[in-house]
Amino acid sequence: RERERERERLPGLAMSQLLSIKETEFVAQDQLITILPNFRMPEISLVAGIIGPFEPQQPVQVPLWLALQLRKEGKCGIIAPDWLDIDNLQATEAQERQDEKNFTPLPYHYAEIASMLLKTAQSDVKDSRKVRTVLANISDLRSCKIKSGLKSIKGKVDFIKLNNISAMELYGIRKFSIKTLNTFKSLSQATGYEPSQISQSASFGNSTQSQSQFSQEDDF
Amino acid sequence: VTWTENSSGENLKAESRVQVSLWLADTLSTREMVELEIPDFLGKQFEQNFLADPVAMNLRDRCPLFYELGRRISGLFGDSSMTSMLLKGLAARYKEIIVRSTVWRSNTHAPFASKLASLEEHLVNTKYNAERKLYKWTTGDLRSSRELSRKRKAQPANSL
Repeated sequence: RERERERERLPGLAMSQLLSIKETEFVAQDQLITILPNFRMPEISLVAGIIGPFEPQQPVQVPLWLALQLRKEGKCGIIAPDWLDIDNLQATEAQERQDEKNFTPLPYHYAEIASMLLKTAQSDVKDSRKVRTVLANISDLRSCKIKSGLKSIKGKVDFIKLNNISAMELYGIRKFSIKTLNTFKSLSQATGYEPSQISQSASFGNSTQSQSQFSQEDDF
Repeated sequence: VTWTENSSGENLKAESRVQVSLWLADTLSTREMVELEIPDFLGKQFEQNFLADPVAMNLRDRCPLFYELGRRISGLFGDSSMTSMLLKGLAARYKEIIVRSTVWRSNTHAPFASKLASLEEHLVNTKYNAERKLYKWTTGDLRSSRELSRKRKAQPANSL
């Protein structure tokens, strides 16, 4: 029912653009992560590819969904990714604070992966309390940058480019930004009005693309 | 033109001023049968007041469908200054919406919330709902409001 209401409100948009939080989390679980199994099993053939073989205490890369399931069953330990290390996170936080305009490169699904690991495998994440705090700080800093960027939209904008934005941050602004762009565009098209200011152009980018500056000519 | 609203079937005199629906005004104007007047809520006086402080203007009282009608009417008149007013006004109020979106339901923002046109309210609700869902996800409470209210209703029975 929610999907039907969405379709009515946003006609013409492909359903794939309206990912919910749970769907975003679901997609994040395809990310590969290293585990240390405590069982032995030959390799298994999944749709996504071949995983394993599993040897006790031998690191092996598996999708996150499998890692979490095995961890819940007590069949493995998870090796937290490097970017989740407290020192790296603190360096990331410092960089976010220093650079007022651009986002620091982080994995696209960093928020979901961190959340799931801290929920299911907290003991496998070193200094998990500090990690939570630093992640919250990073999230706040990035969200401020997003807000100040959105505020800079003044008129007809064809697209917005957000380099290194993460999936959850994109979820938070996706519908709102699309509606905003559509609204400004439809207003400016009423009389073929072209504002005298420099026409802003930036694209909604996939954060896995190259790390370039924001391309809007106004500061964002 | 025969003005059919009157039961007497009197003809409408030339140069009379009447109010008609926008769809009819559009059609008659296309056929060059009438001259249109800009409504008060989009006139020059209003434009000056609005652009002086867009955030303070109470658009809901003036016209809840301010932007939608403004767009149609500016198209009818081919008036690009009206379009410019709509864009500048929306841009200023839109910034305010972003600033206040996180705490939208609190009482301190009720005065501004009560001044919003329907299009702005729609934008606000979109932003607020997304932020609320994100907040719930961050705090680990992803239960839907329906589940929560079901749980609340079940609790008195359980406590017995």
